[in-house]
Amino acid sequence: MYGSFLAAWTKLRRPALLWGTYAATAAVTALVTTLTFVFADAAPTAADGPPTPGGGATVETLSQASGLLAGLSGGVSLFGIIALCVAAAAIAGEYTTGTLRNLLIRQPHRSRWLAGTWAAIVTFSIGAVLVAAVVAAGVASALASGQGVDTTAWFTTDGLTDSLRTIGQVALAAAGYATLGSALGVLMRASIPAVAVGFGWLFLVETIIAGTVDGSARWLPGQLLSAIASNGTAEVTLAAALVTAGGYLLVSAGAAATSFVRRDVTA
Amino acid sequence: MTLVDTDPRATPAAPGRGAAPAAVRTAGLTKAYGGRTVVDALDLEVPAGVVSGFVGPNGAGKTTTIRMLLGLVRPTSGTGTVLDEPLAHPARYLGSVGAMIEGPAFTPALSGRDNLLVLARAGGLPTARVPKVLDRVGLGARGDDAFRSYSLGMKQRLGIAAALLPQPRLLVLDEPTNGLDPAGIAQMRELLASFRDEGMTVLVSSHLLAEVEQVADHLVMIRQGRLVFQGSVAALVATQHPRIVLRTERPEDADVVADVAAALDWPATSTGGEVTVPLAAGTPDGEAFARAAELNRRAHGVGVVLTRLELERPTLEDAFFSLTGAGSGDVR
Repeated sequence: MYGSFLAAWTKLRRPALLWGTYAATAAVTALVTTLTFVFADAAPTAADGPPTPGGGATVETLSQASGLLAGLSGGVSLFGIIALCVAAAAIAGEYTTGTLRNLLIRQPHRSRWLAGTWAAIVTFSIGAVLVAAVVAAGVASALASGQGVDTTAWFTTDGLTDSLRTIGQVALAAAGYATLGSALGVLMRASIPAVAVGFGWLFLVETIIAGTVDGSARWLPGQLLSAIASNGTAEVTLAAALVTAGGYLLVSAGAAATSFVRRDVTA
Repeated sequence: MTLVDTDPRATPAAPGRGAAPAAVRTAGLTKAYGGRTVVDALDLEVPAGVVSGFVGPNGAGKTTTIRMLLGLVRPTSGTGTVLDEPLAHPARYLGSVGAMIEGPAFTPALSGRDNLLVLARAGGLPTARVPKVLDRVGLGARGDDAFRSYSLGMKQRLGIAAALLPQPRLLVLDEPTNGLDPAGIAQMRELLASFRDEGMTVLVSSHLLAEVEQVADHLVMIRQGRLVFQGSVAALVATQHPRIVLRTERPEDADVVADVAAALDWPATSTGGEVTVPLAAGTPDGEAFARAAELNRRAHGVGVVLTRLELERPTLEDAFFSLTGAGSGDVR
């Protein structure tokens, strides 16, 4: 499995993919963090008011312990998209380029290859989250004083603990998206359909359902992963999100692994 | 030698105790997709240490058979061994097998070296093998270039390099000369010969019979998923009829020469100024040349001048078509 992990990283570390992805992540995180601080309201927005570019953050909420990485939590959809796309394209790409047959001749234990490759994709996605965390913290620190945000609570023990928890939860959500992307890649065996189906469902269809059907966010996998990254939401607690999303991930990973191990490799 | 004309199951070569050493041996190997049988009860036996040509028209089932041997495709039925390990446990033997199937498949954006590193790492092989195999196939100087910048010949050679990574005892190459220019084909031929000299068993599939004939000592011939022949190339060719071909200076003299041959009790046919005298399968060269000399002498005796006198030996292509009949698809 470790060999397959290293093999997958040999592909993932190619500069255009690695630095391109991390640079895009950093740029979007910087943008989200900047919007969050620049458009932070002095007082809470009315619940039924129009959405604001700052995502409804206020100077008061940004001054709390979680304010340092407010931009990170706000960008969870981005990390989800990155993790999903990288995973689906990396796995399905092995089918479309025909490289899977070579890899499975060298590593005939298919489950080990799949586990090692999945682990590499997850660590790649977590790497993007860490880059984003550094950028979010840096931009937040630079903008705070200009926006009247008090940063005292950020650098207390509670603040740093909160930041670590946020990073962990966002990384967990990214790993979840990577798992779903990997499963789609295995099941669909072609990059573009796998990415299209994953992106379409998780970020378009789910958003529409969640906005129109009350309580649906408790059952939709993408909404649950977002809830994990946000430390729970008004609709679903963190614990419930972890349990339900964990179930989805186990089922999808199990289906993909079973199919991968049993299916003939004709690509 | 196993020669199967209609039903390969009539001459089974089942794996058994005490059989000769074989790198690959299968019994009743079958693969069906839905109702379509792609490989039909194949009884293969590839001796260790030979270059074995695996020939048949496109769609004959060569690649599916190879995929079954490499654990990529699960047989519908049948058994077998590769390097004395059961086909059902490919992990036990693939560490000693190198393969290139359906052309070289690599990640275009990675260099040749990194593509090989991916495979070495996936298989837990020492990465120090990478520069060695690159040098072996003559890509040492281009190893750091992106795979997508390689010519077709270089891509094929990288595929061979990947197959050599595990220091294989069995090398399985599927159509390794596809798309190569004449120089590339000659280089590939030299490489294959050198692998045999090093003691490897090489199973090389191709639909180019002339190529296989030049490099293979052993042959497995299939058509429509069924075994048609397996054995040495020399044994196969020996089953075919050589012939003496003569051309007369004046076309009207061809019939005279045909009558001369008939007088010797050697049936002959003449068409367009050319006379063909078929010989029995397995006729020794010495006897064939003696007959040619006798024909020449007698033709001269009746005042006929020959402009051509040649002993034509059957080629692998002749043998293939005589076994499979005309219309055997894309075999050339």
